[in-house]
Amino acid sequence: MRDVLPGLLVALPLVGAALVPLLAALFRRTTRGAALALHAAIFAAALGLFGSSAADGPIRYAVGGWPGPWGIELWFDGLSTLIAVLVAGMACFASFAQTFGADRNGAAPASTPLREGLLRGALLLLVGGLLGIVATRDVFNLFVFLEISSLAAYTLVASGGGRASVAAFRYLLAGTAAGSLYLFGVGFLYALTGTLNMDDLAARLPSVEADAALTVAVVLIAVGLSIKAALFPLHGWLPDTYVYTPTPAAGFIAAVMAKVSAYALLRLLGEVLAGTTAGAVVLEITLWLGILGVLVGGILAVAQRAVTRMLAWSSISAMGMILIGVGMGSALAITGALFHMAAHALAKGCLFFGAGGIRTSEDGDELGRWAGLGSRAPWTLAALTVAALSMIGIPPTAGFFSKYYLLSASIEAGGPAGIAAFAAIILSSLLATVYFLRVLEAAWFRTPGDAPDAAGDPASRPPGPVLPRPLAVPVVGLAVLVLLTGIFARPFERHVLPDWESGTARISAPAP
Amino acid sequence: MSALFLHPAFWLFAGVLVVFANRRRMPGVPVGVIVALGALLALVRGVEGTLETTVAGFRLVWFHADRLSLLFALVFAIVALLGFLYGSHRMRAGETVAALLYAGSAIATVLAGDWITFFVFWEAMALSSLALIWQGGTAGARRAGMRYLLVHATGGALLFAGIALHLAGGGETSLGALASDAPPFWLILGAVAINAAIPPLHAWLTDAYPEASTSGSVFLSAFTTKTAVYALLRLFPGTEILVPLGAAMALYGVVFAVIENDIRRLLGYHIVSQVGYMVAAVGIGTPLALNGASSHAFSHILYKALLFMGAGAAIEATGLRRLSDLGGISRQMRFAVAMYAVGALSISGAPLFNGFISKSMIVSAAGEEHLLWTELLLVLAAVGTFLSVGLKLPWFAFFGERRAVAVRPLPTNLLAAMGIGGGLCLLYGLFPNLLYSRLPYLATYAPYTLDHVVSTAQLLLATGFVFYLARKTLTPSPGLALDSDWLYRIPLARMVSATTRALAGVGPVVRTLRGEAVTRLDAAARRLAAPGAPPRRRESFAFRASIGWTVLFAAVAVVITWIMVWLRNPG
Repeated sequence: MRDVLPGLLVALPLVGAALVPLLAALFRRTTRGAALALHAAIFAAALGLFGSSAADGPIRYAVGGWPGPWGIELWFDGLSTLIAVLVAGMACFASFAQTFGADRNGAAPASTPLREGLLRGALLLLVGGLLGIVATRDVFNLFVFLEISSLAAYTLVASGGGRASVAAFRYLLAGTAAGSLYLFGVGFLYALTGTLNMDDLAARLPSVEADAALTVAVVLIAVGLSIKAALFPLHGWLPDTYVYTPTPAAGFIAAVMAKVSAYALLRLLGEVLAGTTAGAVVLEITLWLGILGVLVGGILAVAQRAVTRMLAWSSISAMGMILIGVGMGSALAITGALFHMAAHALAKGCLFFGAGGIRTSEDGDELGRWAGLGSRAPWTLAALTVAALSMIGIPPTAGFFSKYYLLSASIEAGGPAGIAAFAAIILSSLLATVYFLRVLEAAWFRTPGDAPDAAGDPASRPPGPVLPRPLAVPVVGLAVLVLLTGIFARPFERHVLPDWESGTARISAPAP
Repeated sequence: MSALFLHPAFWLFAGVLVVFANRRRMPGVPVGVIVALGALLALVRGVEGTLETTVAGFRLVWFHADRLSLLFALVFAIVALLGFLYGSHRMRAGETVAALLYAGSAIATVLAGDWITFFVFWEAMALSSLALIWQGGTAGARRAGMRYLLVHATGGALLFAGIALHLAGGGETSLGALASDAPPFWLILGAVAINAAIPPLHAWLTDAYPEASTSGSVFLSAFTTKTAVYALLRLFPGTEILVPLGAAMALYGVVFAVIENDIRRLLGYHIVSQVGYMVAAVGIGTPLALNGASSHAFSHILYKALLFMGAGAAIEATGLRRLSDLGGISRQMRFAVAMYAVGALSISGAPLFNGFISKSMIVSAAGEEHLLWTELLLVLAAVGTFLSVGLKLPWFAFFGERRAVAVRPLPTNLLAAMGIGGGLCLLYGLFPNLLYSRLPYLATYAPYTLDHVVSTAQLLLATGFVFYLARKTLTPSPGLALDSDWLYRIPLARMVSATTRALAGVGPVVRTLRGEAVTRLDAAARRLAAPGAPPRRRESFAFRASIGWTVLFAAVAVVITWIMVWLRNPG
């Protein structure tokens, strides 16, 4: 198991990304079954690695039999397998949702089997890229996977047509700038140390600590990854991208994409570059920018009238919260950040699938369109309510515990940064209450027509269910997961924390 | 499993499932009455004890019954039963579910034994009461609900922050009195003060309660503020600042009640005023005062529910809610008016009614501690109470000059609920030991001394005489008397809309500035690289700006980091 699964985890999606469009082209049928089976297999592999690394310790896998630091290594500890499970699991839901096709009001061309197959291939490629980022132990290889995932993401975003193409282009510019900055940073590191392997790097960095080029390298790497992680004030690409991406892809991209970059930031700054002064300074700056991002994201989410755009700004706030945890760097803060990644991915995925579907079925995204949906689709709306409560942080949903850990961590940290982080997190909960309850109130307590901003009468509304099955199933499934994650919060903490504290993740292995 | 049935909230939450599963086939109210009865029976046995479960590593004490929590849980179950009976002719499934959740989480809050359970149900109470307000169904209810949400979300955040700090600081996980020198003390006190409606944090109450449905406001009048009183008793006994706050609060509520025109808003101000007595008593902190606060909460819930039922009956019968519109309808609803009178005499503290046996206890406790001003303010508030609830409201709503108002007959269930409520007020007033035997603290008190009875009777008669003389001046006029809710109705609302507009305006400005900076830098770089070349056109400006911005940010970040690194280890 331990010898096969690591390779399989990265290879499966990449092979599948080629295979699924090919199948679609050859047989001219929808490739839903094949894609779902592939995603399920990837998820199973991620789960297997998660269990194996929890039971028998981290796994080091040398690609092609070439050991580090010369060859590329994959590394699976509690941290990376956790994110891998999250990514692979969300991908299953997204693949299920892809049957939904593009939004009805988008400018996308009609769906054909080939087009659908290509989009499924793009999703698999995206998953492969993200899993690669999570698994790799090589900083240049990480860049390659970053680009793979980005290219696949641009495709998925642009498939919406119309405004989505513009959003995709903008995302492409930001992403390219991010990739280039990261690559420059890696180049500096390579010039300084002569190695690309993370363990090797960590071992050699102390000898070049005095070199000013190290500072430049660290900052460039951090800025590059921060763009992808939508750290304030580098978040400009995010709202348009999330809003105009077709719903099935939006649910996935909004849920995990920025988080994987935050993971990479944590891996590099919190582990590999942790010994350097520049790394410590950059983490401190990240913490303060995270605090700002939490507030700015929350305030702008309140200012939005369209539901998906509100969700996008709330994502910026959530990414700020994750980066607060990364920036603080204590064991408790990292647990909080990881837990928030999981909690936010599940809840935001659920909300984007739901809000995107409702945007299509109700012909619009304004708050008023949600009026009366509670009585038309009680179960779907109950699921979205659970996700919204998790975003606010009401126990026993998952969001409560992530905020609880982050708050405890900021109390533990103390000082001006700790106090500011504490206040920002509390305030963001408050803002989230306002902007989510506004939506819930419209859905449950208004009837269509008594809202002043409800455009159009019910008669002109397209018939049919509020959410078609390809979206309803992920929405309800994710809401159940949000609750389960909240209820089983402590085992989660026990799994990740010892791993981080005992040093298997933080301390690098000696260079061979 | 049998332990579950002991927990009264279990019955109410189980009722939610039953109602939800049958929401199309039957109205939820029979279920409400049955489960409330079940909850009541679970409590009447009054078993003290503690039950806990470890969920996901947290030790949750979800049933902690001592005399204090049982007293509150019992009266909550009684008023829930009355509420469902009162509303059974009109409550639909949605309102029933909200009311069941609200009553259940209020009971679960007072029976919670640890901070996390307490917080969970405290928040559940806020959300379910919000749902109950929104069930009012009018645009006014919706807007009032949003304001209510804003206030209670702030309270919830304060409580959460306080509990997190308390637990992180190594505090006890089980509920108990807090040390007064730490930040958690003030954060949690702030949260509880919001729920207890201590001015100026009280406006959510008088704003939202009148907007709920007639049955909804019966439930609302009972739970939120009294749970806060329970929390004060449990967490902050003897906190001195509560004495002046409570006394001021008692008078403040009455002053606004005297000038108020909307009948349920008037009664809402009396909640503020009566809770003021309890807050002051908690602040005094002697066993007698704490017993007074507990018993006054008990009595208050009964008579206040009865008063809201009476006001609701007038609204049900006529469809009108303002004193200036109502008048002369007493003949068509004699029984309801009689029961309202029982409630009014109770709240005024007239002997033989249940307000007397609890309110006089608080006043006596203030006297025993030689708190002259507090005692005086509380007595003054009692005068105002009788003036507004006992005289003004019935005079202008039920008696007085007859206006051309159509009066519909009232349903039996409504009258039955009022009858039971009135009966309970009299029962406890006539036999105070029924209540005193359940009080949590060690203190004895005899309400029916000659001195008490005579002085109270004098006070009430004098007030009646004053009202007779001044009844013309007290004639209500339509219009909204703005209170501290003015703060968030006008400046805050303006601030929010101004911020929204400013934010919408800031985006383009930032983009332009950013773009301008980038173009300048771009041009400068070009001049350096190729002097004399003509400047390029500004095509695809936004896109170039976004890349330029990134590069600019990276450059600034490098410089700042380098300086900070240099500062840490120069050389």
